[in-house]
Amino acid sequence: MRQEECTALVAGCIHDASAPCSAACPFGLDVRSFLHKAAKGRWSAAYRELRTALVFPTVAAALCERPCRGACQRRLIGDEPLDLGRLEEAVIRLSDAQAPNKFPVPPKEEKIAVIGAGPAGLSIALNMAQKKYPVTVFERGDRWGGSLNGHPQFDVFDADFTLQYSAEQVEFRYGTKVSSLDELSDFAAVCIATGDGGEHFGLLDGWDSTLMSTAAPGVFLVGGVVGMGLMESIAAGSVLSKVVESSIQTGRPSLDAPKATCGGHSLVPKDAASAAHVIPAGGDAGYTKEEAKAEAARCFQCNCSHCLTQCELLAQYKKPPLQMAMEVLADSSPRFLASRTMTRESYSCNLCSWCSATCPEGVDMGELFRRSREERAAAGIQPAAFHDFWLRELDFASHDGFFASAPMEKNSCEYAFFPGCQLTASLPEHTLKTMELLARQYGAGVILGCCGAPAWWAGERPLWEENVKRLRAAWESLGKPTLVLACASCMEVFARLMPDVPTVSLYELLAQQEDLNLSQPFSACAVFDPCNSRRDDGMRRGVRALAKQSGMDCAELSGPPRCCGYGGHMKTANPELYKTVVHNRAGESELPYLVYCANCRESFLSEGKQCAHVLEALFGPAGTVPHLAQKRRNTLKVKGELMRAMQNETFIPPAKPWDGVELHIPDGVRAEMEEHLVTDDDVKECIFAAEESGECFIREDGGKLATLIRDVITYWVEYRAASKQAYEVESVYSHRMRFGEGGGEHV
Amino acid sequence: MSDTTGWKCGKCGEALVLKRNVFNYMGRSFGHEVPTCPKCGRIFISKELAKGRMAEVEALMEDK
Repeated sequence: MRQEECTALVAGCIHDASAPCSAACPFGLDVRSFLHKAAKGRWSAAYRELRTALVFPTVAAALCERPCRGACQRRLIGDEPLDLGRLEEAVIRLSDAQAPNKFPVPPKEEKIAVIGAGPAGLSIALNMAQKKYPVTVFERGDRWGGSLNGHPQFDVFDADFTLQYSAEQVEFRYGTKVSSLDELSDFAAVCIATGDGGEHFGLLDGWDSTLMSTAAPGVFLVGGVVGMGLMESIAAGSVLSKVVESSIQTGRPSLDAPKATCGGHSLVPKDAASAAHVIPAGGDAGYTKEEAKAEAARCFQCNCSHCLTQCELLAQYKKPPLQMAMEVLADSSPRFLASRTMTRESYSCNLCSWCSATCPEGVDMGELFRRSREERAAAGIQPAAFHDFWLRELDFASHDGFFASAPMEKNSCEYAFFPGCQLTASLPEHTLKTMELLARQYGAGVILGCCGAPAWWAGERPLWEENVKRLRAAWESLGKPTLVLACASCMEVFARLMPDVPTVSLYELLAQQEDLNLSQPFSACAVFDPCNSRRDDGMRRGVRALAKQSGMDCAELSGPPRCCGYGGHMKTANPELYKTVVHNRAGESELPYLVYCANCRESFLSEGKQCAHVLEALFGPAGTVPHLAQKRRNTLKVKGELMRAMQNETFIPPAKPWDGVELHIPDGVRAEMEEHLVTDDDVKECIFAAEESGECFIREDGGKLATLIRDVITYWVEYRAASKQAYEVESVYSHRMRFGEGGGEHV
Repeated sequence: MSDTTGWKCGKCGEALVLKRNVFNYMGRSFGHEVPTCPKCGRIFISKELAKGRMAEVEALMEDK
């Protein structure tokens, strides 16, 4: 992935963007940081924050009109905005380390001229002096201050100017009127800050309001002379110092892009509570320390962190989207492993797009991770073990379990049922009964197989492309029917990879039937929408209509649909996170769930959460989740039944040499096999090979240990013969490492 | 090291000996002594090793 592509995927993210108050501040003061320090009583640190941004903090504290208060997020919950005026005054008063910083910057040779010693001139002169340029200020009057002269608080401002200049050497030439810029020809840059109505040397035309540059190279106009207000003039001095330096260094004035803003999105935290504005007990004496801390603590420290706190994956790794994107960028390079940092993160995402649905700017971290997986797979640096099992299941569903047919004695059909591999495997009887209904009502044909989600989620492009080719050929052979999809993930994959194939949700179609005899799995339930259902209103409405027909009392969960945990096949990459996600989703309501995705049903039943598939309301209870071997048998069974019903043919499943091996698997071993995704076929093949070749280890008591080395995973089976061709399985385990002869680091 | 007392190679009938072997994962290789048939070189990986140290190193590599 190129850097532009990577950053474009998170481009809208407003995490760490300027807070609304900072965006409104003429100085761009980091108000969050200032208030955080003040709330902790770190007065000097808060003062330095002020001085860096405000240049002359006392002037700003006294005279700024504080547009920040209008942007304060407290207002959105009816509170008074933060009292920045009193807080600034308090911090200046309470800070005991106000001596300016002495910047360790090497001295420069290029001389800078500033015309005018008013607020703008003083600001640009001080900022350039802090960058260690030799600065000369030409002032036609006999004192500094410009428009502030005569203000009742001028003495205070004068003291602030003196304080801020105390660490820098600047030459002030009072009583010196510059009549022509030719007089300043030995200066590298000239900043004209002559004030409202002041001399502009004929340079107003062509003045650049962003860079403050003029048609004359190296000459800049700033402050009241170009219509700036007081605060804007002082703030512009800081900005102009960067422009002038870039002009000197590169010959071309330039400025970095301003920091992104929050774009008007509300940043009020979810748990925000009202807090009263702190009024100083001493009136004009201002805040005491405790009062200032209490007022500053009212700041929400607002920063968009919605995805970072609400998505379990992002909350675990605590990396903001832009950082994630940069690490993904480094990660996708086929370089030495040590340069990669994101393997588990990238593969721990459910790819459910919930982040995108809830992000104010619609940033989809899932697409970032999916693209990363695709890049890694293309470069051959993917952790193959994370997706190996699911890709083998895809292969099984697409070959042994694959079947496409029009109804008996027809070559084409208007509708074809595509139940998806998981519904077929988990609820075979319900799949068959649905098929019967669709055949009866719509003359539907069928395509059994997998939509390719495992390859899509794994980023294995050649595999999903091959699957698309297979499905497309089957669809075309049936006369391009509308596919009736039972699974939201299939819906998503078809929409993304085969957008020209017309699809309709099974539940939308079923809801149009009036004579359905629906039962109530529960009297009251909450509908758990699968994450990918957000793409299809018809699917969601259909399920609710079916639930209504059954008379069930259905509650709604809050927010956009979220993944049950199954999506993206994160279970193998991050088993602990998977458990957390399933647990959290199961806990969103105390009511049992009505689901319409076989994967959601499996996730919740495995967690012990009461739930039923909507097809169970139609065709009765389906029982527990079948184990891996049963799922494969179910797939073949459905295929066999449909071949018989639709083509009057007998299906003979492909024979394996180890089919005759009979296993006795105790519950504990079965549970381990399920957790580590080891199938009966793996165990049978392992035992069969060991018994055929004698290549195994033998225990004194007759027990044996055999190995099956597959492309990605190595399986070990400890067993003993129970009778001829029947074996008691004592233990099954696996590892991802490969072994061989040779050197290697010691571990 | 796991206890392999009582285990013999099913093919050769030999008692197992500790031998340094190389393991590879995600582009890295690691050396470790594991029980091995001295005759045919068949490697014995115990459940303790697979679920213990090997799983730890696998996780370390995957966390990169």
